[in-house]
Amino acid sequence: MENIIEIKSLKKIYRDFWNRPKVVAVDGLNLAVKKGEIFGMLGPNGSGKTTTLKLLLGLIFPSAGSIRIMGVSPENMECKKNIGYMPEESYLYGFLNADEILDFYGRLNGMPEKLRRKRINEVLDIVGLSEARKRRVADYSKGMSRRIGLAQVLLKDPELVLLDEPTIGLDPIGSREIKDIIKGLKDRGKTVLLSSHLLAEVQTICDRIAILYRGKLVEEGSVEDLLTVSDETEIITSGLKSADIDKLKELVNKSGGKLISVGHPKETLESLFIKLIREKSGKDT
Amino acid sequence: MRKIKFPAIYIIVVIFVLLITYVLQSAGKGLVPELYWTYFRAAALFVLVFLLPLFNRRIRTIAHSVLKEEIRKKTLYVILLFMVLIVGIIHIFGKIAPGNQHIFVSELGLSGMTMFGLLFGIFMASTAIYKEMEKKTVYVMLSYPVSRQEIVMGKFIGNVISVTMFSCVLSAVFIMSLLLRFGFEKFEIMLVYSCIGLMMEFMVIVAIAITTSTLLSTISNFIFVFIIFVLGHMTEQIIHITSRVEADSIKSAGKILLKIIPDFSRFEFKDMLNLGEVVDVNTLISSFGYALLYCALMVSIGMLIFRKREVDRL
Repeated sequence: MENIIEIKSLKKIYRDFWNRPKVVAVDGLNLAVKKGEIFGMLGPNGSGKTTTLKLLLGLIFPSAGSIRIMGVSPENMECKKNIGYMPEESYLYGFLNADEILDFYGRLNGMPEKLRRKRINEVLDIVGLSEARKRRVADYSKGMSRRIGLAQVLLKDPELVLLDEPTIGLDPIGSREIKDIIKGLKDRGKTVLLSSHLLAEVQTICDRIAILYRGKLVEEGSVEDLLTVSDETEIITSGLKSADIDKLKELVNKSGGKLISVGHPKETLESLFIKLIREKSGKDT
Repeated sequence: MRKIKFPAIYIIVVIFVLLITYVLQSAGKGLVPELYWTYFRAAALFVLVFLLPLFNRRIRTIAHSVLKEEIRKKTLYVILLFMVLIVGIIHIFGKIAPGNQHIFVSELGLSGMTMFGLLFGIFMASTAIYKEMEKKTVYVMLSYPVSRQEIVMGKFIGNVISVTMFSCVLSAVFIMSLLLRFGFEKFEIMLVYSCIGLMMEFMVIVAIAITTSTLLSTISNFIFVFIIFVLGHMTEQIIHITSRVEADSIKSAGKILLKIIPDFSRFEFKDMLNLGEVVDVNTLISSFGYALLYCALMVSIGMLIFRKREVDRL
């Protein structure tokens, strides 16, 4: 599959006023993101995830190494038409309302008026802000600000979407909705690169991940490959009686294996929460 | 070979246009009146500084958003307050001032307008680029196909339009109040010229503030531009001081300073108003050309600085 992002030996050194090296934020990073995948950058705070995204957007410049997005430099204007970016916090103009903000970004992207109006209505529906479209963004809650941040990304309908901590500040339902939108992007053939320190979130939506620590790449691969414990086997059954479980234990022992645990599988807290809230809202309506 | 980018081309075009007018002027000496060349240069600079950039959709969008922001700010209330103040001053001082009441009141009003316009211009333009970086709105903007140079130019044009609108409202109210108080027979055309001079001065201040806002924080920028404003009004004093000192180093420092800082005396017509003189249109156009040239150079410097500015480092 074709690489949409290619990062080679990327280094970013922040310097002080006297040009002395202060922090090495990214240190010799090599990364390739394939077209059509959801790629997650993981790492603790200060591991270089956001710096890498800033470098990809041309907000800051590399100290060494190279970045190619769709085969060109991040500063290329044509390339920027195909990149959508949602920052960690929604940095938007508080004096504008949702409609005006999207109109502003649509104009910057060179969208003709008719298409712009149509797309604004569509994306406001997708992010659930149609009713609040005339409210000033400064009066939005954090969750609503995140949604309008995502709306400006969807407005462009870009080939590559860069998301910095996409679900931070959202409640579990909002978080699930954003994850569904991200999966929807992948289904439409878009490439998503997201950075997060929420491991469960990355695990559920990403195809491949890279783990960064102190600006260096520690591990990279598909989620499936990295998380599979190849020398253990998981059997999930239903309707098994305790006598059958004893037989199963015996069988495992006889065949030279070791039964590590037997118990009932657990739901995730997120899925339980969403199920309960949806049941309750269903009853209320 | 490295590609020549926008600010470089912009500076080259500005210098080229100026050069070509001078070459044509000397080649066709006597054929065309000298004054026409001044008009032509001012018009060419106006096209380069304002009209051509406005053909760019992204610059237009950014300028429009600046204007929208200023209109929605509390600035309008300040204007309203100032209008009331002007009218009040005219009515109070018009009664107690002896002699040329209208000249005294006009000067008072113009000084007030300078102060309010200056505060408005500096506050607005000093934050233009820096606030984008501080609030990180520039992160999202730069993820769109917008160049950094277009951002600087859009901010400049938006701020100049805002400050000009602000000055126009103030001037209109001020002149109307004078007309109501003293009638048409005491009306001086120099008052209109003085207001136009003030607008040119604000335009230059905006250009300086925009350029320095690519580097300095709001407070430092405010102080810096204010110092430039004071120095720009002291060009005659600087010339006088440097001519009297003996040390060559101070003389050269003074000369360099005079070349760098804008000469705001070109836009000051208050003294002429006091003396009952009228500025000729040619001087006004020549001052306009000077303001435009200064703006073009300042904005070009701003674009060059912001081109390689790391927007996450404040």
